[in-house]
Amino acid sequence: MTPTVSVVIVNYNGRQFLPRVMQCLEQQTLPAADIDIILLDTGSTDGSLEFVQQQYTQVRAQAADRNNFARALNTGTRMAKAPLVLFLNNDLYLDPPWLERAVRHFEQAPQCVGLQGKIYFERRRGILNSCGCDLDPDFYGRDVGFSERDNGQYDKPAQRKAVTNGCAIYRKAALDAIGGVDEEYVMYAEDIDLGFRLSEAGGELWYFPDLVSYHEFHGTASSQLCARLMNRNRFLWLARHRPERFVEMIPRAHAFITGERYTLLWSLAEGVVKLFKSHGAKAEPVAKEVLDFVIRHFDFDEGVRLVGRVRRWLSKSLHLEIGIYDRAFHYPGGGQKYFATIADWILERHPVRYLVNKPIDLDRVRQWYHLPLKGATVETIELPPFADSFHIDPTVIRPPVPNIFTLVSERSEHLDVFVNSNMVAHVYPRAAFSIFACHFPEFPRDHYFFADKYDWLIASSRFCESHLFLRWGLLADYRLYPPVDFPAVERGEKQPLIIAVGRFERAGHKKQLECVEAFVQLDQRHHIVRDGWRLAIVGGANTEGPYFRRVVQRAQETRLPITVDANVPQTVIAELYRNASIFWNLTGLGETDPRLTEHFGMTTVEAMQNGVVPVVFNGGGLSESVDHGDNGYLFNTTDELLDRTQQLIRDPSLRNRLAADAREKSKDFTKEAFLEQFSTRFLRLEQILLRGPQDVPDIMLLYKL
Amino acid sequence: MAPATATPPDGAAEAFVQSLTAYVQAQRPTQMTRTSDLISDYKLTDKFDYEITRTTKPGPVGRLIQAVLTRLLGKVQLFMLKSLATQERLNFYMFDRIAVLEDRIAKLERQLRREDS
Repeated sequence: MTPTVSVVIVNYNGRQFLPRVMQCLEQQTLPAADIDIILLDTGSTDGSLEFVQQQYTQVRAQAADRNNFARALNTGTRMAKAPLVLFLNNDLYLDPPWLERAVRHFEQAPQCVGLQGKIYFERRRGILNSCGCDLDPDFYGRDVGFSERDNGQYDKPAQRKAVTNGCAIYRKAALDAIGGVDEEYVMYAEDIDLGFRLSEAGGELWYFPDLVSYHEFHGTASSQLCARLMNRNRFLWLARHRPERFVEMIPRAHAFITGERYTLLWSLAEGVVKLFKSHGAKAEPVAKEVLDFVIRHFDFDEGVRLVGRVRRWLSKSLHLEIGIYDRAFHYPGGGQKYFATIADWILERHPVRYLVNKPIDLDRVRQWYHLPLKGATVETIELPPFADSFHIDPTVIRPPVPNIFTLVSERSEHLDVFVNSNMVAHVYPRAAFSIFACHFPEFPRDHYFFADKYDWLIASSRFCESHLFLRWGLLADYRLYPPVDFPAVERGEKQPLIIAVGRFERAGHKKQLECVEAFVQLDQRHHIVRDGWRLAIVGGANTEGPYFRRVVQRAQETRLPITVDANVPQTVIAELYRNASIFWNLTGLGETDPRLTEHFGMTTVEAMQNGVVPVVFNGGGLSESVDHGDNGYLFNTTDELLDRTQQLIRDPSLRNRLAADAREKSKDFTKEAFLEQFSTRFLRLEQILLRGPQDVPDIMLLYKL
Repeated sequence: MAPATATPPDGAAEAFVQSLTAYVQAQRPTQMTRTSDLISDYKLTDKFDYEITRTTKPGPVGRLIQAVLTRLLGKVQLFMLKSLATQERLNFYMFDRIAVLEDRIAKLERQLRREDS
């Protein structure tokens, strides 16, 4: 027997509501045989699907392919066996005669293709949630009677422009005829669009007050997600149904009024794509007006970016053009390795072009970082003011000198993704999508500052993240610790050896001299040299430089077993890591300027990877890799350093325990962990850029939720 | 089921994008204009700084103006930080950022209270 009504429930983490919804359906006066229930689960993590499959065997419950409400409604419609389809929220409860009366209304009104009833708030008895859908003068969808006390003002049936998909019943044939719900909406306002399209096709939508139901309201969706989607979907709707009012409505968008520039600009890009998809070449004049608006209210750069986004979404190419700008690519460094590791991974999927300011042979880069970078290309953008200098220092470019980095902005115009990997805030990104990677905001926020214009702001540590806020007033979008992949060292028996690894900076802020003094004091207090303990200090250095020579001289004066070596091969460092028991990092001790602290501390993690117990200064990024007492020690004063070191020297079992935990903790910072974190986000971004946002997680990533 | 919106013919997308690209490129400001804009911004800022400095030196009126300005700026900053913190709280996965924001808010509140007393 064919049922009369198919009920489609789309569920996301709504297990708590489901028993009551099912109970309402069981209590309907329409015979159970006439009701066909379909539940589509859009990725719940609360066991909703299993619960329904076990408890309600009459329900056809299955997982939806994506967390896209509109798409799930279409899937449900396709699965429906009945000629009438009820879309029902998982937190909405029907009165017992609801379905029976709805069927009768359809029988009596053949021109009616969809209808809804009177919906009250479940938790505000007597207050109305919806008596049909309408548009306000700014084209925001609204529920008729929303938040009004029910004084009988909506007690007569009335025709409506749309009905809410929270609880609306449609003729399946009418839905099929217009191609169902528009899945690009994902969620919210898809019912307004549906109502208008059904009306265009000659159907009528009605409100009947005798169909009563109760709604929990926002049972399973956040209000922030709702606000972003309403803003975005309003532009999709305008593009499809009222293109002539599109531009006029931009300044009346909530995102414009509240200054949510980012939300507005992405919404406009999606709106322009929708304009084209709905109206083809006829949409050109409106699209140009949108561009005019963006250029006038924001910047020329934003106009270019908008076109780039539209181009990306209308392109059929499955390759993203990716450009990485690095002003310091011509000499080796940790920051360069950070993005070279990412580039190497991306290159398996998309072409990558390096934008650099000084010519460089890519083979040398491959040797520096031990990365194949297969297929990468390099484009040199020469900046005349820096023709004679080795370093590119952006701080010297300030008004009245024109912003020479505009040359880099111009090269970013035709890219799908532009990465600014070395903190040149002077570059306004003009690519469809842009990423700014920050290791520490060294320069002040000054003229020619565009770091706030990037889509993603990546901080390489929590320390960097907090200083991004304090120095630049910016919130990082996410944190991505650098990859630390010192080649695995064979485990050996640990020796009574303390090591300190780090560059010998000209100003000595890595504190090698203080290391020597600390070792002297440690021996004076505890006579550790007698027990065979020694100190090894290594790192890159200008061996003719005064600081390095001072450290060597002081080490010799002490007549203690202290060795100071510069620019040693990696094998020597590996040997030290294998043999050493304790690792010292004093960077930041006694400093007040955050620039002089360790921003992350890669050598500390290298030591931890090799079971060397870190005793490091409690400041900068060091406290993020070392958990005090669990896998090493953090100190604030030299006395604390000496006490903690002596504690470790005295207690080999403590040393072994901390070393094992240090090895474990260091796994959070491996190349694999780094790429896993990056790739998870990037793969979603890739899909968004290739096909547009398809579901709620896409929307959350694109609109920063 | 038919697609919800009809897809325009092949090649139309390319022409559409080309047209928009040409349109936006025609709006490109010359380097000269942009630089002079920036220079005039710069001068304005200088002037503003100068005005502020001048009002700090003379008698009670100047000091009053400065106090009002400082207070207003403080209030605006406090309001912005509070709304940021509120927004951030909704993003439940950003706990550590809230701590930074709250520190800043507490500091500003203390400062404004001091000015009040």
